[in-house]
Order: sequence, then structure tokens, then C-alpha cells
Amino acid sequence: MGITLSYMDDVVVLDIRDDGIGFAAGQVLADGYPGGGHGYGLTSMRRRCGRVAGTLGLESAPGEGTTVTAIVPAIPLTEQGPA
Amino acid sequence: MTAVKLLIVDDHPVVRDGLRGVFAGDPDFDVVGEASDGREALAAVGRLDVDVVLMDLRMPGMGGVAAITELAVVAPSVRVLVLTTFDTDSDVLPAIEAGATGYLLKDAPRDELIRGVRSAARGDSVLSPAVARRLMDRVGPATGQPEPAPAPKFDTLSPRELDVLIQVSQGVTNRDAAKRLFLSEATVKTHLLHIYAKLGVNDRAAAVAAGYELGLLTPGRQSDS
Repeated sequence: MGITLSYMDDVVVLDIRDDGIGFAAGQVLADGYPGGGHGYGLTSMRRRCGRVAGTLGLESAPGEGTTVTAIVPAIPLTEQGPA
Repeated sequence: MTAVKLLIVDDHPVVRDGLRGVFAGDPDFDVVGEASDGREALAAVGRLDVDVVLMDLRMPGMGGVAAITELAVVAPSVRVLVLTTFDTDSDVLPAIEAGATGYLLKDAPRDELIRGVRSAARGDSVLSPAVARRLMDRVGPATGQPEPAPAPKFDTLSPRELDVLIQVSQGVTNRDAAKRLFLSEATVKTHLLHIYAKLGVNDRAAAVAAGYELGLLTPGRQSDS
């Protein structure tokens, strides 16, 4: 399990990855509910990212672990407040 | 945040006093020492805990470029911000090639100087607009003059970008680099695009070649992450 925060030029990226069993990511994104369960996690995370003009990404494959990526714009603070 | 520890290197006492005055009132900075030439600067860095060296170039005895070259070997974590009167090619290029993190002119406004030291402490490259223009001219369209030296690259890679470039140089795929660095593949790709842009290349092979050419990569070098 690893969490990495990357500061890039104009965005901040949070990558959270595990080394679990993974799953067919394309399938989950299409269906919305991982493993046929009743999860709202992805939807809820995606909405929260969207609220701050960010995006949520998901990478996984069976046996390859899973990575969730939140990308949000980095808005530098100025003395007058957000630029 | 702990204060940035500064060493001021200039052969003119008046200049040293002036610079000390600029930073003395600011709790974000701590001027830990002064030196009047390159040799003294090296000794001071060895003796004191220094984050950033403010370095003049033209000094009697050992000049700035020689000192920067030496510092890059003996104290690679110390950032050197060149602060000089001159913005001619013969001064700018050798200093940057020797490993200076930044290059400001002495006529820089106080704010620019303070900002520059902060950036240098973070490891970001700092160039005064006049110097940047000079470098742009060097890498820009040919001016009709012969250009024997390769174009200098002043957009330095971040430590993280260097990590990614090292992985690529070892033939690691994006997927495996992501795994090793605890990133998503998307983030690895983003880093790569930034690396390409900074190095002025279009693909992995050219990025690795440029990395070796610029001395960012050396044979056998391992990622320190």
C-alpha cells in the first residue's frame, strides 16, 4: 500500500495504490458497482474531486493491484487570496 | 518552516553588508556566514550548515565558477545562487554548466532576490529575466553565428522527474515504474511529458540520451527513492 502526493506545475496528484488482487477496471467503471456490490465509493470520490475542479482516475487489472488517482488543480495563494 | 541558512560570498565588504541587511530582518532566513572568495566559500560550506550560497562570480583568487564546480562535488545538496553584475555569455553559461541553481543580477529588486533565494532553497532554478532572455537566444533560432557548444538546458528536472527518468533509463515500463515509485501510470506519463518538454525531446529514448548528455544520468546511477 502506498500513497504519493505529487506536486506538478499546475496540478497536485494523489496516487493511492495497493498490491491487492485488482480487478478489470474498465468493467467496474462501466457498471459503476465493483464486484456487483453496492459500492458508492467511486461515485462519491469522483463527485468530491469534481467539486474542486479535479478528476478521479482508476487503474487496475486482475492480479495487478489497484491505483486510485485524484488530480486537482494547484491554485497558488497570493496575498489577495486565490489567484 | 526552518530558516534558510545562507552563506554570502562576495569580495566587496560593502556588498556583503548590504546583502546581509536584506535578509537580516526576515525570520525565514539566517545568514550563517560570509566569504570573500571561492576558497573561503568552500571552507565555510565545509564548516557551517549551509542551504544556499549567494555567490559572486568575479573575485580575486578562486572565482565563483571554480567554487561552484568544486561545491557540486563536495557538497551537492548545497544550492548556489549566482548574484553578479554581469550577464554576458562568458559569465552566465559556465556558471550554469558548473551547477548553479540560479543566476540573478545585482540590480535585482529586493523582492526578486528574496524570492530567488527561496526558490533556490527548494531546488528550483532561478533566472533573472535578462539572463533567461540570453539563454533563450542561445537555444532559439540560429543568429548566423556559429554555435559550437550544445544548447544549455536551464529547465532542470525536479527530483521526482529525475526518479522517473532513471527508471526509464533502466528500461522499466511505465507500469513497472508506477509500481516502484508508488504512482499511477497516468502520473508517470504526466511526469514523462514534463520531462520531454523540459529536455526538448519527443520520446523515451531521446529523453534518456539527453539525460546522459546533460549529466543528469550517469552509468550505474540508482534512484534514491
